[in-house]
Amino acid sequence: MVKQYKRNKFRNWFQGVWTVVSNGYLVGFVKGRIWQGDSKSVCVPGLNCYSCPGALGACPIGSLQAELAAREVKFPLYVTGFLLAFGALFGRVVCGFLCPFGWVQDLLYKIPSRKIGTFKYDRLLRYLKFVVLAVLVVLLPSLVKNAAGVGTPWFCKWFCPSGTLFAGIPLLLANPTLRAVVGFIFSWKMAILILILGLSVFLYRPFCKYLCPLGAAYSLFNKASFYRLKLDENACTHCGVCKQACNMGVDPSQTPDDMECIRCGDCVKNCPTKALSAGFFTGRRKIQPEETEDKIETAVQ
Amino acid sequence: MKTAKRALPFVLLALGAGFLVLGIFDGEVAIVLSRAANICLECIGIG
Repeated sequence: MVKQYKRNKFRNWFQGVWTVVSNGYLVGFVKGRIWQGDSKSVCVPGLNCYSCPGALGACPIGSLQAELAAREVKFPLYVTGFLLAFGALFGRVVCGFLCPFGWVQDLLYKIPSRKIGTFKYDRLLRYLKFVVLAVLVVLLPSLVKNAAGVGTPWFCKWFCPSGTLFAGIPLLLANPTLRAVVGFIFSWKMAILILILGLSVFLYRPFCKYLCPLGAAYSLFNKASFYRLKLDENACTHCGVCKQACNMGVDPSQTPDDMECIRCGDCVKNCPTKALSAGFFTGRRKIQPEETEDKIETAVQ
Repeated sequence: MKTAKRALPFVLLALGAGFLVLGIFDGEVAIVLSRAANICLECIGIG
């Protein structure tokens, strides 16, 4: 029998509430149009297409490509600023708590089925998301430009499954004018979406693990963000429960700042000696020996 | 070394805030807004 680990239920609720709040222009879904207010100039932390009918903010990956593709921008200071700030504050907490497409994958993984843990090229394939970030998000939009000097958002156009799910499908359903001009690219993107959603039932967050350029960007901050996992080495018995409970394939007792950790908190919830904690740390406060003793005492009881 | 590690998130946050302000003065807000406030045909698989 497969052991069931405790899961952070608060996170699922938070993800749902955040998705609804950040896509709160509900009229858009009915009328097949998008919100056009000034809040659209502000980037949201997660991969949330700005052409989603309900979206109140801008997708950082879409905005980054828009800036790189624009003729007049030499370096995308504005969107890079958002990415640096979100990254420094949260790291990949954004993936775990503030990404609508991550939430959808989490929900699909709850469907009872045979689950795939890790496999031969799992760790190697995780680097693919950096290739997606470098090639589709940065290089192609900034280098391949038309006669007017304007580029194309390659990731949005050819790949982004979040855009297809949250923008393409609802807009085409509600807007007959758009439906009339749909063609090959939409079918291609639908195939990618179906593949990723189908895989998500068996494999935990395949898009986040292998393909998401935003996850790649935030993963660079996991070692340097305010929000961190902290391991009390004195309390840790290296029992391996945290590693087994982690759906992202991380071993928090060895690498609490692993780039793949989405800070879901499942390891913290399952640690029998409470050696792991998560929160905003400035790094000044050291865990005192008496605190460790308290934890061990509680675990023994 | 430890001090540098402790300072890193503060440095990154300050850098992010600095970039944001410079981007605002550089007129990049209008570029993001014009892109985000109009239906992106590429994003929905039409363009």
